[in-house]
Amino acid sequence: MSFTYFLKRAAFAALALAALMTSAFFLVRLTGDPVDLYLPVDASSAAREAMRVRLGLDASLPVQFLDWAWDMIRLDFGMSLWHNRPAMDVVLEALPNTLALGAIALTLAFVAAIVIGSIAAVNAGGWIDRGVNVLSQAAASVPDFWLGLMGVLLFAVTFRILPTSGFGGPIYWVLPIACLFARPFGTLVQIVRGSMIEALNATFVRTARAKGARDGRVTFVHALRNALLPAVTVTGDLAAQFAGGGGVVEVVFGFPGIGKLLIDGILKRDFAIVQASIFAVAVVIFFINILVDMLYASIDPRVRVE
Amino acid sequence: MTDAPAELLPARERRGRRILWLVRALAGDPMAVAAAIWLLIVVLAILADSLSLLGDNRISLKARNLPPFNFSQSWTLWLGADALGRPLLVRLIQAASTTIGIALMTVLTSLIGGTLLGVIAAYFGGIAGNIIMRICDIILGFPTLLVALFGLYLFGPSVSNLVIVLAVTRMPAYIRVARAETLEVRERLFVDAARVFGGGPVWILRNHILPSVAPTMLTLASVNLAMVMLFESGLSYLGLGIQPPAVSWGLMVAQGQGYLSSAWWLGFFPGLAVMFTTMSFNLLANWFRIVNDPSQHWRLVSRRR
Repeated sequence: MSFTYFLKRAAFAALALAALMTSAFFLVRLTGDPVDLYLPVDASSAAREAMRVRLGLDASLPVQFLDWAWDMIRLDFGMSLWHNRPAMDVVLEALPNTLALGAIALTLAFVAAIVIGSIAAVNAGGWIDRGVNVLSQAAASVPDFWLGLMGVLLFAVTFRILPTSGFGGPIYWVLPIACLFARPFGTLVQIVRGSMIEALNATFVRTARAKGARDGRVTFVHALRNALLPAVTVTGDLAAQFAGGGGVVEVVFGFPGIGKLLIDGILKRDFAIVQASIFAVAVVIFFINILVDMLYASIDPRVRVE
Repeated sequence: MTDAPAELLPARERRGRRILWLVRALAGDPMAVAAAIWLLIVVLAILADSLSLLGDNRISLKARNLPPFNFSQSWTLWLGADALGRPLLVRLIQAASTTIGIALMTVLTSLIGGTLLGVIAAYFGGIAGNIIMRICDIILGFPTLLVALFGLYLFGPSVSNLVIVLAVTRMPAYIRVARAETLEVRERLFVDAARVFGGGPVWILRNHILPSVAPTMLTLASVNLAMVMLFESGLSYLGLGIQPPAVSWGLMVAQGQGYLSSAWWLGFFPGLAVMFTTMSFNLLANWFRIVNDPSQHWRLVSRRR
């Protein structure tokens, strides 16, 4: 991967972010009262007026835009109304939790999906395959917030072996990880299974068999490496989706990650937090995409990153 | 199949064959059959509710948080009652029409909008096409849930906003696929022939490009239906989607959350309904994809031969 390629990608990511934020800036000001973003609907008109002055909304639109753009360029996202601290500080505290949660859940899902998907592909059409199919379809379709609630009901309320919500030692991570695991696992199993069946029927696998390679070697070395690419692509997409936080799952468990921060920010009308979270997520996604490209090239030498 | 191949038969008989074949193809996939039956039940229930055959849905303090599977009660109470004593089964069916209705409206909006924009971007190209594609890149660069949350935050939660926001976040995928398909189709000989015969661009688009692009787009739409339903449930659960007194499955889970330890069924059944319905959409989409892909037909019918 060349340095110019990296720069090109970075420039496009920055442009995309700028476009999203700018369109949000104008949409809010042209379609409604931006004070609505900061105050609840039932705020008094005096409070609204005070907020208007405080936010500089009494200035003309171009002046407001220049002010805002200058703040964005200096990475100044304003003070969080709720936390009363610079919004970026709050976001940077939450970000590592989300990244760790997502990384653990996705890694587990990826590994489990490869093992189980391969087993299903080897037994294609048999009862193991059918069982895996039902299981993975169910896992891919389950609403994660509901899975979380049912987990709480079963393990925290009934058996009392796991905490209902909060944050602390490893035990607080079990249920959130289990909930975030389900959907990627279901999706990936089906992809691995499909591409494995295709690879196992390919001529190069027949060649390997003809040359006398053992079954396990043929499955897990010759076929799997070729079947891995689609799974890696999808995992990359899923990782980008996860960077926005385990969103709803974090809310269910009160897990202090960026998804909960963002959703709380939205519900509590804390625009600085919303703005800063979106910026942080965009940066993370940029690096995830670069990482996936590199991984892709290292698995398939035919792929050149350009 | 010993008689004449289908393409030699008159059109009416050919259509009959096609339906017969679809039925056989469905029978070849037991999971798709189960999915179709589940969706049929849901649709019938919604119909029954809209004809008000399910009895009333009044608040009844005697039946507050009535546990499920109490078969001595009237059948609408077999799944229990909610915190205000309304029969859960009836509530579930009312929520079904919201949830599925929104999913259908969203998918239809992004299907029509995305196909048109994609076809236009490909067929006419130029600056407009470029702008369309760049906007797609931007939207696809962010997590779907994030864009949807942000949109609902900016415009406020309501049914129409929910549909618009979800449709816009899903639309780029349709635009990209429609564009790629059109770019390929418009280079074919029959399009050149139509142009030589003096067909205008709108006529060519309607009669030659759109029919060729449609199957792929419909397949994409069927896959998206399940995804949109999950997103809508999540947003409604968070309180950013459907607002009470309207009801959707996601909202029902949120309302049942407070009673988790005392009345588990309030949150359990709506979530289960989401899962079954999403799964059914996924399974049928899978089946639909295979039906539309002649190279995979053996998966459905080979077992029968």
